[in-house]
Amino acid sequence: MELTVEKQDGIHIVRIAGRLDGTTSSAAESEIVKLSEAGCRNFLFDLTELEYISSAGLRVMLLAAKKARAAGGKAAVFGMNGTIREIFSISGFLTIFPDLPSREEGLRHMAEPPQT
Amino acid sequence: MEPAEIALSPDLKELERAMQFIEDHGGRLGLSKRQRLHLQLACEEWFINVVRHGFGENAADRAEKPHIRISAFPARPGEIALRLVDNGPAFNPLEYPDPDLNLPAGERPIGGLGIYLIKKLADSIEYRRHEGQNQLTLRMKLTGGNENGEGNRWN
Repeated sequence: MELTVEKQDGIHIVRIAGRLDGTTSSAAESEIVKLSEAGCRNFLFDLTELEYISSAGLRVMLLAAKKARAAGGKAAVFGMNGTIREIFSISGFLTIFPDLPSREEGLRHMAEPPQT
Repeated sequence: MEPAEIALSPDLKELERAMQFIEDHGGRLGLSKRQRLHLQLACEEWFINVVRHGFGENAADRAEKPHIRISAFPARPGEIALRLVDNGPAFNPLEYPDPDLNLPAGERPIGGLGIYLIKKLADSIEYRRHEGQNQLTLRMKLTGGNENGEGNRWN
């Protein structure tokens, strides 16, 4: 698992590549917590290179969504492959994370004020 | 065909070996890439649960040695079975309540999805407690392996 953070137009784009599983999720979690504590309210996840996610990884995603929401921001994803989208769907995560078709659409979505 | 089998210690570091086992033997038995990922995911959820709850803090007090095994074999015609065995306390995942997936993010509990994923990802699932062991059998139907054009590489 590799996690990289990039900032564009005030939005944090969190790219997660590889396998987000029970052995790698705690590293991802501490990055999310660190970002949140540094004042990040909006998480746009780039999952283009995510190959695998288990409930441990979903837990980290949910944590980011909760932190974003609590701070008055939002979280969204783009770039999911079919397998990852299937796991999101089974887990009911497509109702939590808007699934945007591209990075540009993701940034546009994040720039809109959050709906309450 | 002899069932392929692997024994694991109750340690999360063993997860990688379990995943490789499913990748290798799932592929050999004709499962597609998608099916192998689904079984890996189900197996991870099972294994983490066994390590955390089956052999957790009281592991040192246990009289019996941990016995955790995964085997893969052709089952009924056109089906592959993955059997997950452990000698932890009796636990039937089929009786575990499903999470409420309609809750908004703020109310969604962190966790509780693992067992649900096991139940949803296999084509069929069977549990039995046998001679002090939990035996969970997950079955996958062979699909012909066309999804990624590689499932039937070995056939």
